[in-house]
Amino acid sequence: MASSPSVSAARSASVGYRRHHAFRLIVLVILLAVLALLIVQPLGWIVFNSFHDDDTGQWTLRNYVQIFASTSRWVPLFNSLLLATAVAVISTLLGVPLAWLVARTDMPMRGFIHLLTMAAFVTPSFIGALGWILLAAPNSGWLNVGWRALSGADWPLLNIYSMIGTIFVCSIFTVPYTFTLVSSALEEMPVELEDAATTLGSGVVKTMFSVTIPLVMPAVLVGFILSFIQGMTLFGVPAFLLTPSGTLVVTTKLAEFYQLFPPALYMSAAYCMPLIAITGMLFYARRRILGRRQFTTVGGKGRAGRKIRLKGWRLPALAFALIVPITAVVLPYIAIVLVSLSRAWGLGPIPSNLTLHWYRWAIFENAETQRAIVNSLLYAGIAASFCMIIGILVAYIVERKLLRGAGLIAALVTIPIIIPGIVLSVGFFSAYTRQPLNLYGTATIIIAAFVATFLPIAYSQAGSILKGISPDLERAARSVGATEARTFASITAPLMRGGLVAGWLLVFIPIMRELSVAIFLVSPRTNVMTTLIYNYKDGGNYEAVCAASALLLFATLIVVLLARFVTEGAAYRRRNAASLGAAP
Amino acid sequence: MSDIDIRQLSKSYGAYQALQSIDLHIPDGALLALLGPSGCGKSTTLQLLAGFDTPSGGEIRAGGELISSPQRVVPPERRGISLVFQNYAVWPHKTVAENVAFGLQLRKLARAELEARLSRALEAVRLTPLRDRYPFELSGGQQQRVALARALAVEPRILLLDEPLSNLDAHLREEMRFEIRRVHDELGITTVYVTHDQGEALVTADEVAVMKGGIVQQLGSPEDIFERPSNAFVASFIGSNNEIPGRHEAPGQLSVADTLLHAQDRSGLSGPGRKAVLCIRPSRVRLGEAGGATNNLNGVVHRSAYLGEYRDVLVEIAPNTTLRAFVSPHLRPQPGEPVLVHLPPEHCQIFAAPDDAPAS
Repeated sequence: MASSPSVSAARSASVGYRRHHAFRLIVLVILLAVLALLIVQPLGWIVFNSFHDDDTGQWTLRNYVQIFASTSRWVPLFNSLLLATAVAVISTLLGVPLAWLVARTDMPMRGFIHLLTMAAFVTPSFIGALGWILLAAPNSGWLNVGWRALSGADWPLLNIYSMIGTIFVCSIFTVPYTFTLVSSALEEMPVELEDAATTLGSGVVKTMFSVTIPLVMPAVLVGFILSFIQGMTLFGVPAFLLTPSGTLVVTTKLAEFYQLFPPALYMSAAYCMPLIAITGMLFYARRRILGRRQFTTVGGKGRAGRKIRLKGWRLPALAFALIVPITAVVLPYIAIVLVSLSRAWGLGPIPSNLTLHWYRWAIFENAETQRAIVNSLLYAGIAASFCMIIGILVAYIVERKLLRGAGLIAALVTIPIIIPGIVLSVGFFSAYTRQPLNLYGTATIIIAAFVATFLPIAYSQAGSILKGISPDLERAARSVGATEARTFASITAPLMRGGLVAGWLLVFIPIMRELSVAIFLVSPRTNVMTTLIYNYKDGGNYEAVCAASALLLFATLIVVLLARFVTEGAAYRRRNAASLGAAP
Repeated sequence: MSDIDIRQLSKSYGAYQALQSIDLHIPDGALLALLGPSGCGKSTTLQLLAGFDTPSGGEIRAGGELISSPQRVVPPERRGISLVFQNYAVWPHKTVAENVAFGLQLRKLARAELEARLSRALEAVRLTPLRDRYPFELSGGQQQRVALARALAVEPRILLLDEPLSNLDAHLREEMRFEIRRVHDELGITTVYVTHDQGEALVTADEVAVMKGGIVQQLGSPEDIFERPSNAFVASFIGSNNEIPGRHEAPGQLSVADTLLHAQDRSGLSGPGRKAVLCIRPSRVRLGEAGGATNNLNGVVHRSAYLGEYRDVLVEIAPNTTLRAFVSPHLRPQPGEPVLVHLPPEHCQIFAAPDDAPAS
């Protein structure tokens, strides 16, 4: 370039200018088209449908009026609110003290309790519900059988098929959210803040109420909101535990609209709206609270090993802390594994009843489970990859401010976070089971729905990885002659690699255990593990259901261990890289 | 190689005007320093030169070719302009040699040619022995040299340096100043050097543009801007300076308290009675001797500090008006002592009072 005449330099610059902009334009158009298909189209159909009459197909507001017109419509709404409130209250009451005990005290077995609480995190809650059916179904549940044998009573001790049972199962699987949020707030809080109060003469209890609790309050509130949303949007647990007794919540009522013949598509669309409105409002509240939360992290230093001494309260504290690990992980896992190893679970766990038959059946003999295992891994793998690609692209555009309206694209990919899975399922069903894009029964529609659901996670993962890479590293490449695409491939992508694998796994795992998004979209050919387990459970073959569940849990566990391994490797590499051009 | 022509370049972010219509011409092969405090617009200018940002107005030409205007920005990779960053921006996943060779690989050179240019670039910054190290195995100064070699290896027509030495320790910084000048003299690449350190600017540059508030305050040789600053800001920003507020009486005359002082007039003020400042370097102030017929003041020593090579003396010449003088270290003025102050008229300059100066 040094010796080239300025005419040719000018021409090459001009070609570069045009090529550069053409490339950007093509990428942007493709991205926007994909997002329109994944998000705008399905959600648009829900809104459109909600204003149409199922019988006549005319524009109408009747659907909305009808939500409140009959008891069968508004009772599920009321039940959902009841369930969500109870779940939020209980998981806060369980999760916050649990976080404090693990993070701040000398309670024994803290590491073990932390580990099991995390195990509850990765367990699909509908599989937990399944475990609890085995334990506490009124007639056949093992705990009730044991109770009757011991006490001679003829009534069951526990009935899991009830609102209280549902609240209980939803709560224990929601505690990990509160626990994680509050314990990280406690760990980030500088110990000096508490010390400062103590040096001024404040006692342990006084310090806790005047310093510790106010500082973790935002985390507690956010935990409460997330728990509430969980209670509103969970589908599997109420479907397993409430539907048998005829009690419906919003999500299961939506499923009922679908099982009508013909499906009440338009009515169900309107019925989604209160749910979206509530989750949307709560996410907005969460954002506001998190926006102000920064003050808790000021000056966060490595905490000294000093722990509050519980003295005589150590064992009572431990007993409390074991509630969630035992009820959410130990008991259901034991029940599921034992049943999966039984010829007939009614006979109880005795040696003559043990068999590997159901695993042989699930893995080698039954084409349905074989296909579902392959489908689950394949769909989750493909969907997680697409999720990450879109997430990275959007995060790159937003973080590097490549576009004026980048904030809007970011908002668009974040929208699915307020859309409950079952609603998104409704949207995809409405949008893509008609001409010109009839995808009913194909893998594409399921993968697309998975991608849409988990885009927000992928985007926020990609964003936090990119924040750690200084834009100067990319600019340096541009200034020595690399195009935007080449810079991305040679500099940004290799620097992101460690974080990308971890981010991919963080999307892959929830897709593996996702039930509600897939539920209306699968066909016998495209069943995944979760939907197959759901269908088998309806058939009542618990041994087969448990074997399939154990396989799903096992597969998830392997992937989680892999994730830990990779994440730690990435963290190590990033530490090395952080001493260099990491962003300020 | 090529010259750079910046015309009426402006850049605003919303209501904030980062650059207010600057004009600069950098001749082929020259080294221009953009000097100024943070927020003066120097980094914005560099970003625009590199092509990472779009100007709000005006244009930039390199070698006669339009490379930046509000309508059209040639992308950075097509400009033949290399940039060295303040934080080095050395790629942590590539070795020294891979960092430097990256730009050459993009040019699809023959293997031998690539190897030759790589060696030459590494040699120029004396990094040949470290070519297979990874960046985290290098010191800050070595990383900075990798960044420089990487920018030079592609033989750019223009080299931009963005505060390249500000993350280095003082000793290394001084050494690298001369290193940068040496490399520039060897290769003769048109260079723009952004810094807030006047020492770096004076040592390395052929010409210095002093900036403040998005405006070029003065463009001139290092000697020009030190000896003949165009306003009080430039005078105070470059080197130590005394700014004595007073009243403009007549061309070349200014009164401080009740004393009339003679000086070079750069204020452009005409009528008498306007506020003005008199600037003089502390090193030019004379103490204890009446050096001439005019510009003699009676002062009181306020503070005296021994600094080895000279003595820094603070003298009160009028109520609330003090003045620093750097004098020979073996003079020993004591605080409280009356002292005769002489301000040689040829070293005194009158400027219009800065707008933001508090009323005196």
